[in-house]
Amino acid sequence: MRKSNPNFLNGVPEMLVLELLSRREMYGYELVKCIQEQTQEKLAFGEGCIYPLLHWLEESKFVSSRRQEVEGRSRNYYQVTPKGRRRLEELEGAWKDVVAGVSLVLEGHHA
Amino acid sequence: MRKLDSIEGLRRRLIVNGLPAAYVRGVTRELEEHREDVFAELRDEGVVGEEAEKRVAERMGRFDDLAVRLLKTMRRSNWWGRHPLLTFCILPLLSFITGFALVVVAMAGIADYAGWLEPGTMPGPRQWAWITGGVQLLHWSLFAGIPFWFCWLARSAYCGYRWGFVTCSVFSIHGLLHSLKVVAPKVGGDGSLAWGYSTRCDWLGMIVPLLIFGLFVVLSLYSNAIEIRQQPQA
Repeated sequence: MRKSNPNFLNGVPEMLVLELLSRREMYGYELVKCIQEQTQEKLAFGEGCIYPLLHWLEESKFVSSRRQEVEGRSRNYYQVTPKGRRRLEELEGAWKDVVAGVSLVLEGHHA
Repeated sequence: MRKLDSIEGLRRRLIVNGLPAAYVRGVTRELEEHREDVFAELRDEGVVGEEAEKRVAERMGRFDDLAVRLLKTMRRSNWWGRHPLLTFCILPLLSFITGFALVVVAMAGIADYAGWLEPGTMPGPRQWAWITGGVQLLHWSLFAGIPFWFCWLARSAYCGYRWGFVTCSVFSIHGLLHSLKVVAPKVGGDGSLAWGYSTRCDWLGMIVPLLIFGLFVVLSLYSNAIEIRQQPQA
């Protein structure tokens, strides 16, 4: 039986954060700026809300964090873990299915 | 509930909701640092003073929403928080039954080792008094310790006081109906241990778990008060 993805749309922020952290480690403010730049500000959200997501990802062992001092400022840097990379692959696969399905509907085709 | 308009207000709200102090310190430090970075960015753009404060507040988002998200997110992040009914209603009772049964089996093993179960070598009245006292001590230790432990688990799993209260209420109802009786043997007869449920209400069994919850809340509030009085770390 095909796996359903009813909660998938809730995983979009998770997927974006994991993808960006898989490229390099970042702290919260840096990650927010990166999301805004990479999405050309098409995604808007209260910047403080990045932290509940990061903390949940860390508790779920998808990312890890460490305190680091850069240019005289100490910040909490996050990076993706191997488990997080596997999770990212799952989310990207499911996202492609969703995009393909929605595209078919919008283009007026039926499966 | 009062609207949150500062990180300090958020810090208090999270502590009052039972989140561990170390976690709250960490998250408020990150939010303060994030605010500093946004202020620095706006300063570079020439925005200072009240305009900067306004823009920072807009960009950070509402602290009320953030408090709700943090509480909900952290609850979902662990197994106990994702399955609160199983964790805080069923597991405590199973723990009590299993714990009590295991220790009674252990006590039977000790009695067998001591030769008390051999015919003609039953413990005397004094020894039965010790056995009865030991069983009651075990019973009440589990009755107090298990609800306290699950209150602590509720706090550690970010579930707050509500689920600790649920555990203690379930234990309270269990205690009201629970019956434990140890009877020393009369001359030439056998002793007995009876464990089960009865319609004869045990009011002490009902009150103890609720007192344990009260004690846990008092200790937590004391710990919270110390945490709230401390200056947030820079």
